[in-house]
Amino acid sequence: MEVFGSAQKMVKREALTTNKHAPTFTTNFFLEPPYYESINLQEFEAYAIERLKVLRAFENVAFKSPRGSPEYAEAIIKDINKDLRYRYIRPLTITSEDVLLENKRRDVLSHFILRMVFCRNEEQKRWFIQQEVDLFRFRLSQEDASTISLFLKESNLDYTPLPDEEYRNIRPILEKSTYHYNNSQAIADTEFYKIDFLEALDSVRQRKVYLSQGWAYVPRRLLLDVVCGRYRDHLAMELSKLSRVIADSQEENRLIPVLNSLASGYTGSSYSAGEFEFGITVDNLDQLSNESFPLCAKNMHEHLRKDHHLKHHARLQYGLYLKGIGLSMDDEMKLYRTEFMKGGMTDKAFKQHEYGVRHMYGKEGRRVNYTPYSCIKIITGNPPGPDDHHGCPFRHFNPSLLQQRLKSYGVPPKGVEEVISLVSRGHYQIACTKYFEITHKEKLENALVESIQHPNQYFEESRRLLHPETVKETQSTFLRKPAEPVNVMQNSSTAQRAYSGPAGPVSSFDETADDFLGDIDLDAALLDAETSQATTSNSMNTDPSNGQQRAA
Amino acid sequence: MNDGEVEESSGSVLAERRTNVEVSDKATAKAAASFQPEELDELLRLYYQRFFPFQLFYRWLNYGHINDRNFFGLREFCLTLKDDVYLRYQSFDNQAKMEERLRQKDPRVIPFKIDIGPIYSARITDTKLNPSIVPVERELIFDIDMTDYDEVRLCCSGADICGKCWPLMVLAIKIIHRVLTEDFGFQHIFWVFSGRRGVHCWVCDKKARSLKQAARSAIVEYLTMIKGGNVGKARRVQIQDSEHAAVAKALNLVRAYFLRHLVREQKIMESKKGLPKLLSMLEDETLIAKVKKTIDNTHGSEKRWNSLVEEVTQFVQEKKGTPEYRKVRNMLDEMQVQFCYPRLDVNVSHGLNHLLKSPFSIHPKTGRVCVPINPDFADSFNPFDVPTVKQLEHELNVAYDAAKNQMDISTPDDAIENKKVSPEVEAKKTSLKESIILFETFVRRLEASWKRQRDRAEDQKMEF
Ligand SMILES: [Zn+2]
Repeated sequence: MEVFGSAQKMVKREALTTNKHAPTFTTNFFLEPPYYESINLQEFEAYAIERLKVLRAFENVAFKSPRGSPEYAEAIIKDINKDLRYRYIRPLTITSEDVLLENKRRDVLSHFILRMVFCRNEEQKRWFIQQEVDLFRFRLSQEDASTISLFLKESNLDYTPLPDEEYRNIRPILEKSTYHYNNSQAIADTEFYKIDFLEALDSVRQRKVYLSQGWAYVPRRLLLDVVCGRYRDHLAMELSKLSRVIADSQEENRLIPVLNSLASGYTGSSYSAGEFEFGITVDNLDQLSNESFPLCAKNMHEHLRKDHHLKHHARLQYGLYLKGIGLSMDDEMKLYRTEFMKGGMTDKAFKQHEYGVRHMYGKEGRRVNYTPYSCIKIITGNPPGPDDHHGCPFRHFNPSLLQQRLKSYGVPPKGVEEVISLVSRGHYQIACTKYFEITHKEKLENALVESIQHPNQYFEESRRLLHPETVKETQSTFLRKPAEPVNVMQNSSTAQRAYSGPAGPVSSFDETADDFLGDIDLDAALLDAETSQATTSNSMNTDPSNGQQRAA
Repeated sequence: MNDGEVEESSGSVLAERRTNVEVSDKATAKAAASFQPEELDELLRLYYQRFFPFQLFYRWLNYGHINDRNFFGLREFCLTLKDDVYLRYQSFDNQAKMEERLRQKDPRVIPFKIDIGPIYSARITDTKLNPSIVPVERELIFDIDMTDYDEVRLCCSGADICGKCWPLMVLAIKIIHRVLTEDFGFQHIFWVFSGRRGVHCWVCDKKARSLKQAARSAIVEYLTMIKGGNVGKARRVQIQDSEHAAVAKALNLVRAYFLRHLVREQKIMESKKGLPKLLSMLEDETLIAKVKKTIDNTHGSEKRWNSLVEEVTQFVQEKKGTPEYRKVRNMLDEMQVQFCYPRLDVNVSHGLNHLLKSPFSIHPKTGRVCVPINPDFADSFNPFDVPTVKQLEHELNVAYDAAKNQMDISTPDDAIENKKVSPEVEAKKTSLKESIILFETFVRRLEASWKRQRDRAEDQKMEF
């Protein structure tokens, strides 16, 4: 089967001249698609699964150790088997040119295959980009300085160092304003690059660099982040383009089932509504929240009950979560209505929210079947502002608040300490997993818990443990050894499920490379409600009784 | 009793302190106080006729696209009519079309509130957005709202503001404006009073308008010190990069503010509400007890503050070399930051499609005009001096009455209808004058930058 032949629109090019001279370094910006060639379906899948293994290893290691640390590097080398390592991470220094070329070919092919697999859904795209950027970063960090310079040049990333004179003039400021672990690192920073701040967003975001008149002063050491940022942008843009092409050829493309099953193998279910039924209604939500909600959902639920209101992003995050655990649209409507009315909202003002809820359930607007947010999306998404209750408590609460909250939920001091220590090292999902272990200790016995990837997964596993009789689907995707990527050939049921897909089209993401624009329709619909509600609250103050309260 | 009167009464306290209160000011202040939201539709009709600066507004939002007749028409406006009828996705081809729409006489269609959205990829004509039309350009915006400071305000809460908490907004303007201009190099920044209890910031440089979401949120995070999620009880923020140039500069402003406004004016060290809050931020029980003891023997807010500083400094010194040192070394600054550093709502700034109230629109509750604020003189901006639409009507009538005595001149309505004067000219006869001049200056500076660009392009053409 001519795989790339059938996807001609994507790779309609003659044999390309790139990398013909086969550079010795493995770092690759993947600026060009692979040579025009035919591969059969078995190869197509095999390559994809092989690379998936590598990417999953990167994902798992990143959960355990901070990127860039020595433990991280060690774990990568340890977790990826020799053959894959030579192919994807670091080539053997002495090897035949044939092997080198073949490795190169597989690397390029598998990368482009996975682009097709992961480009069609926002969530999957985010996952793929993250892992590919980590792989890229790791490769780059393994190269020596001259190779890096060569690579930058070849990739059109010609950053010019800061002229000596300017450096001397602002050196004291640079020393103070540049992030460093220790003094020796600060002293070693003598070579700076003056880069448009747009290219150093990660460093800007964390105030790791000095900024003046729109220029970021980036030390050589942090240039790696800049290059990775470029790569991330490049990849995001390419995936957006590709998703349009694939959407156009959706009907006739025989690859779609294969792509679907490969995609579903990455982190299991996407927790669309209706996959599980727990008999959830408005009436047992409080109990469920106490027993089985992850901290993020519990926090939003409790605030909804207490404040009788939730702001835009929390409504979205919590609403989709509830939808994911199987709360019906009518019940979700009832919940919001009851609470918001208690908060003083008028019937009329609630109309806008009704629209928002219907939208979430895919009954309005583009009728997209929105899926609940995964941990990664929540952790990397909009951080909550003051008075916001969305986000991940492990990531977004300040430690003392988290500590206090955990205590109030009956987590013993030792457990609190463990969780806080994980959080302080940036392991938010592991912290959440720990919290799960602590709160389900009696039922867990010695079962191995894989890290929490999704709030709905948390809920599901909790129900499975506490009340197995209420869970219709019995297979746990959670209490198990780390899963191998799904092999389509052997697991046709998975393929079937993924292919038949959830009700309604999968949320597609095109137009721009921006991360959240995919949700724009939903966002706008819910924002409508938000803004109109602001207007309503104004008019609420004209209420004479309200005025009296003020006067009193 | 309505909200407007509450604000007005606290406003007059402030006004008393001002030295040159003219007689006419008092008359207009009275007129302003009598603003009633019920008569808003009638007042708005007059406002859009005589005051709203359509020409400057168009020159601003058209951003020099003289040859691209379609640019202004791609902008989303959102109009809120009487009784909260809500019209999203409105657009106007040009200035004339916009004037025509806002000046419709039927009270049911007069917009009570005007919000500005993004530039879309294609003309929007419907109230439902076609999914293939997406936002492509948007000013970088910030919305700073006094309610986000409730956990640390000692004077008011909720929608209320007074002369004591308003300086928080001034501090926010100073800190953010410095970062935007010096650190990010933006030049065309428009600060606007939100009409009630906050300020809006519009960054209008071409580069700012074309920022992607990731860049917008990076800028917000660069500016952020107080993260959310700790609502209810104000806890001390953690600052680990106090030496970073941007942080160091902000800290200087914060310290000056804290001393002047919180220690001296609001006497936080003697305040029943403020002192416990401040002390709890010391977090170390022994230290709190020690400071309490010292303070009990000291009188006067500033003296107490000085002794707190002394105690804390000594405490920090003693921790030197221990693992806790990192956590406590910036303690003093952290407490002050917690009390007054700007709270930013990242969700407003990071997206392209968030709506923001239009400058020069009227706040439907207070009747006040959303006037621009000169960031260089932010200190002297007094929200209670901002004219209400009622006051403007009064002032214009006074101006015409005076003129009528000297020469033969028609009524203001005639003047407009005969196209003798534009609202920009009319407004200058009233206390809106300074605001119009500020707007004009802002638009002229924008226009000058486009001219420079065109000239540069011309020069380059000449060379070939
Ligand atoms: Zn106040």
